[in-house]
Amino acid sequence: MVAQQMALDRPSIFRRMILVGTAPRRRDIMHLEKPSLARHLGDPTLKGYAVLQKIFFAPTPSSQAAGGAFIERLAQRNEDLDTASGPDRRRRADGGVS
Amino acid sequence: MAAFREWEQSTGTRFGDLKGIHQPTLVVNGIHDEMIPVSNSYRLAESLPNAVLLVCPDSGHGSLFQFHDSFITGTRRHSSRRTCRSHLLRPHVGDEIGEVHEQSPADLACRDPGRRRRHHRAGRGPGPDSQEVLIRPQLSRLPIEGEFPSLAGATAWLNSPPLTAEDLRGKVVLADIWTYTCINWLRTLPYVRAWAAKYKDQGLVVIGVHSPEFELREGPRERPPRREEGMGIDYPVAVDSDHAVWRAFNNEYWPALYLVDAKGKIRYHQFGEGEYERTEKVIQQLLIEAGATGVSRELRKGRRPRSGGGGRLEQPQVRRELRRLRAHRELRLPGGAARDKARVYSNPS
Repeated sequence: MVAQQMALDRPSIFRRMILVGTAPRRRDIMHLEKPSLARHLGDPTLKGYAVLQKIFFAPTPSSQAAGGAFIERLAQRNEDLDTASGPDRRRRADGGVS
Repeated sequence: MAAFREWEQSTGTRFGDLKGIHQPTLVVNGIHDEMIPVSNSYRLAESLPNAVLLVCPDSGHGSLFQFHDSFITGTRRHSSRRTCRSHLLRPHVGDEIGEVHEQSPADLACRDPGRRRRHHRAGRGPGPDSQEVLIRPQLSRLPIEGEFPSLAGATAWLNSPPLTAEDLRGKVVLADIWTYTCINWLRTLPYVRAWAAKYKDQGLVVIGVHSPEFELREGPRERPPRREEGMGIDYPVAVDSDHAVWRAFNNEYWPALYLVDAKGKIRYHQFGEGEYERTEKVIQQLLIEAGATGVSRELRKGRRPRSGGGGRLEQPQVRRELRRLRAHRELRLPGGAARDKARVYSNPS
């Protein structure tokens, strides 16, 4: 979304683009309240990256296993981490560009 | 979230925005993405003028984390195309799209030269020997592609006092829009430099327009590369740091050559490498049209880049420069990259 807008506003700054998991204007983007997502986002038993594993990976054993492996790889990094997100950040992100 | 909802509002034609994004684009998604359904990726790939779609099976929004090998292979292929955008309009020697089949002008005659700035491709039938052939207007009927736009947006001039389109009326002008870091431009430089010298006395004026691609890497923005950096450019260069001249030409490519006749009309353009003989023939024709005498009909003999590999450059200093630029472009990882195993990379401090 942001990349597409930037490419339109300043065409000369990009030579190539890679768009992963995004949508053109006029298409649906991230309706977190839809049941297939809301049920994971609202599930208090899912802690930390477990939510990410549910919503970023397909509900099949193989995809969930790949999600688990991805989260293990995420955990290997311990330097230069982003600050954890929290309610305060979330509120700001809701209002602004995320 | 507000931005997401705004994005869903329509503006103008359906997916019309996407038509304006000409960059080669790789679109990636997982077939079961619940966050942004994969149908969006199909729409992107359909509507973007130059997109390749990669859809991964058995995966969701994080398809790139699940099929990381496919993603890396795909992005590497995507980023290793050998032209700066110019392959949008035509295949290049050694490019994955197909080989340019160099033909005599008669073979390249176009029966329909009417449309402005359009290139037509015609296949030569299937089979391993098939090659795409570019059909371009006959030399004798070079259409008027536009007016020589204003050069007033240049922030500075090198090797010359500021020039205007009016000053250059009566001259045949070759405007070369370039950027220091574009390898494709670098490969065209020996030709442009040779033409500048060879046709100077017959009235050809070569102007470089340096429109930077990167702001940080190209050093002081008011100067193009120095002589000792192997470029040896002595024709006038408009320093176009604000891309004002770039926009005035409505340009989208590095390198882009525009040939302007003595009446100030753009009569020919060449985006990207290649077509050197043809471009030189147009220079000769426009000079003759402008009344120049003694225009050589000889063409500069030069080695064509080999298909595959890095191409062959004629001049050692250009080869050296190219190596330097390539080294500069490589991502330098402290301690090197660990292949096929996890390693923590930290930002160089």
